Amino acid sequence: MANDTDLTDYIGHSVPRANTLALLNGRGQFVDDISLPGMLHVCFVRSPYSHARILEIDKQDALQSPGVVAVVTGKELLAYCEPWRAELTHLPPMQTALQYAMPPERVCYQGEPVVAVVAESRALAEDAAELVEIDWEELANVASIEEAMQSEGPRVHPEMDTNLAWSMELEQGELDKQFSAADVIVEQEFYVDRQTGVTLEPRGIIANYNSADGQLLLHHSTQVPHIQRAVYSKQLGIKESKLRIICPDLGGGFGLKLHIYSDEISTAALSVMLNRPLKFIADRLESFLSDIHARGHIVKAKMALTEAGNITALQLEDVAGGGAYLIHPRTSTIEPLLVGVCTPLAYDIEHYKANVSLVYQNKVPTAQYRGVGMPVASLVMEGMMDAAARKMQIDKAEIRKVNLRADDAYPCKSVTGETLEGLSQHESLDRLLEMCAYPQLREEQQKLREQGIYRGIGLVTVVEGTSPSPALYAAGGAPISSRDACTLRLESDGSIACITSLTEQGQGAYAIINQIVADTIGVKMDEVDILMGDTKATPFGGGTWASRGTSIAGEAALLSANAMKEKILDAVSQLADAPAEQLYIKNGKVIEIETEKVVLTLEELGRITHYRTMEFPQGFDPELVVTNHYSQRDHMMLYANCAMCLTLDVDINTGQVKLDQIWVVEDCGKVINPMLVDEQIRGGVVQGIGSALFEECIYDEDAQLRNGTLADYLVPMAGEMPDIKIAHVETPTLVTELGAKGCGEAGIISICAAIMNGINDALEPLGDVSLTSQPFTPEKILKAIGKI
Amino acid sequence: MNYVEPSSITELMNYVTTVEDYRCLAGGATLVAMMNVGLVEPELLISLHKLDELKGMRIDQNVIRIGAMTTHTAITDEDRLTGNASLVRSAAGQIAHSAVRNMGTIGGAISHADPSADFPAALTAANATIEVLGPSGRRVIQIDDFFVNYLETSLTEKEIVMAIMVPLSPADAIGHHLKFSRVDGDYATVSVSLALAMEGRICSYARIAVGSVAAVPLRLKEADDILIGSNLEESEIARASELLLKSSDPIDDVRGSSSYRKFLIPRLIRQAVLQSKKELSYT
Amino acid sequence: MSNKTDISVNVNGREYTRHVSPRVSLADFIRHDLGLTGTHVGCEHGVCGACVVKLDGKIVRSCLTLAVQTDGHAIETIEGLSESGEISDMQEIFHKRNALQCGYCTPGILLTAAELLEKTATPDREEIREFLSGNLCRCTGYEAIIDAVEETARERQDGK
Repeated sequence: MANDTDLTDYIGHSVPRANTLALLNGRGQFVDDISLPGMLHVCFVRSPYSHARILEIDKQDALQSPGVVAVVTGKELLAYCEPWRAELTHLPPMQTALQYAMPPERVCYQGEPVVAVVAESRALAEDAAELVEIDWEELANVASIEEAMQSEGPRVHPEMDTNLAWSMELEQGELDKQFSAADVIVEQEFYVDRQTGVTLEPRGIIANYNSADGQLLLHHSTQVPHIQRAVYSKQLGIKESKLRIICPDLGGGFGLKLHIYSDEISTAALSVMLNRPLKFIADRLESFLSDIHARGHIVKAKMALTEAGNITALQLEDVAGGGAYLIHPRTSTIEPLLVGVCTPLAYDIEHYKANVSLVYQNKVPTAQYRGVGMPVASLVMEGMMDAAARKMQIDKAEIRKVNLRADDAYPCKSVTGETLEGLSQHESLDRLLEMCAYPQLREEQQKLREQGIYRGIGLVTVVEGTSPSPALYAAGGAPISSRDACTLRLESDGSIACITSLTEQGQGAYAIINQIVADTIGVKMDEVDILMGDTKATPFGGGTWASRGTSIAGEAALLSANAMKEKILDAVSQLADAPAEQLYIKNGKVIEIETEKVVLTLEELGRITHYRTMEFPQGFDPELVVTNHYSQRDHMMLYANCAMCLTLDVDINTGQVKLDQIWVVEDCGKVINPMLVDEQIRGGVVQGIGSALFEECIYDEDAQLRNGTLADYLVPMAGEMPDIKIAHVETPTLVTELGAKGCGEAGIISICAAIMNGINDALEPLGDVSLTSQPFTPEKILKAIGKI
Repeated sequence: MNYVEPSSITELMNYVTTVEDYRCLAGGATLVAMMNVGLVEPELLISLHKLDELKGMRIDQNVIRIGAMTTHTAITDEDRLTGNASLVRSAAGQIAHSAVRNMGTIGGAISHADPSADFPAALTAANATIEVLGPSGRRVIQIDDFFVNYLETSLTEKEIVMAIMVPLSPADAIGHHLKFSRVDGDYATVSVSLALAMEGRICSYARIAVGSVAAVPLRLKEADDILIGSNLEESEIARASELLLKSSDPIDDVRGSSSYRKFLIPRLIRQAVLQSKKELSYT
Repeated sequence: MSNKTDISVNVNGREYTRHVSPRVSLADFIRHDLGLTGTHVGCEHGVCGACVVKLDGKIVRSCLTLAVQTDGHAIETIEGLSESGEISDMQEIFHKRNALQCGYCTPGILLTAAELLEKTATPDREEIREFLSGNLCRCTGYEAIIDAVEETARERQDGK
């Protein structure tokens, strides 16, 4: 393997990541670790109300507070930052509200920033912020989704007739006919509460405007520097070529750090206004109030089946809660969109109808957070499968086998028009059932039931979307690139400089590119040095989101590495007077295939190329730099599949759920680094355990957040988490040479459904419990079985 | 804000009697957290960590005197907390996590008087007495009189906790702090703190306190009396639980609704008593 | 307006004398006054563990400690533990096992795990999980971390 002597076979191996060494020694550099000369600090006065008019702002006392440089209102900041409307024109029309860096007149969610205080330190800014006096006029607010749906009642945006931001209908086949003719009909209503993401490193930005040359430099904890640049450039009126974004180390993203945030763009605008470097770091309390939230769905589903358990039709209605604005630039519609598009994907369903919609609420906007609608799609589909299995007394694995497409059915189209290729649902399920010894699990369950222990088995088979094409966002006008690129250079010492548009959030972006480049060219991994996250230096690209890094940026890296290899061999053939086809590269040496003789080392080639070009024949100019872009344009997404089984125990005396074991079989195409894929799955599973059992944003009737601290909002800690066993099936995607699909969201897309199914399976002896309200808290469980 | 570190009780009392707006800083685990979110902004912060009188643990006539500034970790590691006093050790080890236990102090914890915290219920069940000091001198407060309301003790203004005295007897008693929380280390949703001794099959001693179900730890002598002298059968446990349940007044909060807490109370009491009974039968 | 005081504190074996406001947390003091940014801030309410440092040899939450409280005391941070080499075996194993993803929680986790192994030479997985349950990691799901701490303990035993 790769550890042995000369071998540089890295692809497919669990190689450690070079870029963790600094982090392990406390020598990483996150945005708050950076200090610029003359830097000031920003803190925001935020609305205490979920809906209110700003009548008057008195900043006189605040201005006098020690260390204060400026106190700026939304009205004053208008001159530096244009408001925007988030919209995707390729989807059914959206009602979108104007959003400001800081609103000049009306706030629409608790926590919306209204006044910025700039001071010599964050503490001094906070002291001054307390002295800002604001006269408010409270307005009627819209708190719950149900309230938002009412035809009469308060509006989040008075210029709109309703609180409906967007809706879409998908229909294929003859639903009414199928339901009339159905042998069995199953109906369920699912409720998924709103949650937040909680990145351990809160959001942060340092903006440094220099009026001398009109350059704006941002150090930004973001996953997508090019997108940020496009939007900031437009809103601030600064050319992209004068706007540079550098990504420091990023302490967790999960989709939270993709979006345009009022406080961050305000900080940039303030830097332009004041011509000084400014730092803004959200503290944890602010994070709860201002990071994008996610989920928040009410889904009604109805399914028709034959006696044998074949699904003939599926119908669903999803109302998703969107918050006060559509997030920019992705809009908040993608969650319900993917519920509509992805729910039926796992099974061969011919008749389908979905009505999905997004409503405004006086809450923080919801947006893309790991999984993006697909965890809800799985919850619904897999919940319906188990509900059908319970009703029809069919084994839960059997009912899935009956409905999964054959492994040789691909490529094919789903009922929602999505192309599915390279799936292995039967093979994955079979492997899973073997791995967990499913029949024995059922036997053990029976034995435990006799002892009064409520053991449950949760089983799901899921299809998840990864690696989107431009059809998802850019087709609708959003400045979101679905391309990524890789530039490679041979350096003077023979090492390879690699510059990629992919960004790191800890998932292993650096390592994957490192492996692909080193393996493909034929050099050791530490001979490749990678630069990421700098819009001035890297090629243009999409960044990290939607499980697209390996598949798309990895493909670009593969293309470049192959091209670089060709160029190296070509250059060496010129120097050595040997045909390129008779040479290959191994461990940084160019070797003649037949004789195994070393013709030239890359170190020598580097020296000659950069210093001693006279050694090349006249007319030959070595150009050992390559750039390749790759954009996945074949399908809206590359779909992968995941099968998951878990065991859990429900304590009916306390309602607590104790997770016992979890098994996962994932097919994400070609696996570049098994350890990193497994760790992505584990991380996603545990985040999803949080969603399933603990995480919810608890609001009162005035849309005030009641649990916005880490003591009250629970996220999974080590104590309660089980070990997770993972196996892989590898069906390379037909779309790329690399063959990899994405895997980062598989865990979270599967686990919530598996836990729900496990709980309902555990409680089956007590009747068909059908608890379908996430998070599945002890109280809900006790209520569902009539104990409280 | 100003900060001082008195090195004698006299110096401490001097500050306390001359300054209006002050707070005493013990470990900081609670106070600094409150300062960080802006709940508390005293003009003078008086650190107690140089006061030797508040440190250390010593045994005197079958009572262990625990200095107010003793950390939760020190209590968790203290082998001399035996018999009835083992309850305090059991509770200390379940507070939050190691890094917090290394900082937090027993004096700080009880002065804060949060009924969802672990020490208030455990010390109530352990029948502790609290030695306090004020400008008018020292006095001793029995634990049942110490917690007055949510976040309120019977300390008068200017008094501080000096030490907590915990009886070691009954020597044959065991202490059981059953903390039911959403996850490990969280505040209790409901806790049951129990000191129990048996003579053969008869309960010779019982003192139960329930935490997180009222403004102060819930303890009823009548409930203890049902258990004392009995065989601790299901019926007695149920009757004692019923009394405690009737007197409980739990709130709705993120950890649980009032009805959920009421559901848990008898079940957790039963669990605590049966577990303790089982443990005692092995000794 | 706060009255600043002088403090003398030993950090990673070096004496520092500084003039600080009583309001400044130890975390902010270490990070911004001393420039040791390896200790991270995740919540400021003592829950997440990203800020863990050693104070007089025991781990504490530096976000819940005031800098002024450390006058005359000794602090060790991830930088100090790294330089001394006392956790280099654990860091190497973390690296190999990928027991970190974004790295933000990692210094706090390493310091906490170091204390665990001082207290218990061969903890089982449940003990490791329990001891680390005051350190939030949002990326890894914890299993790789537990594996790495377990392996570190095992190798230290084998090395004896």
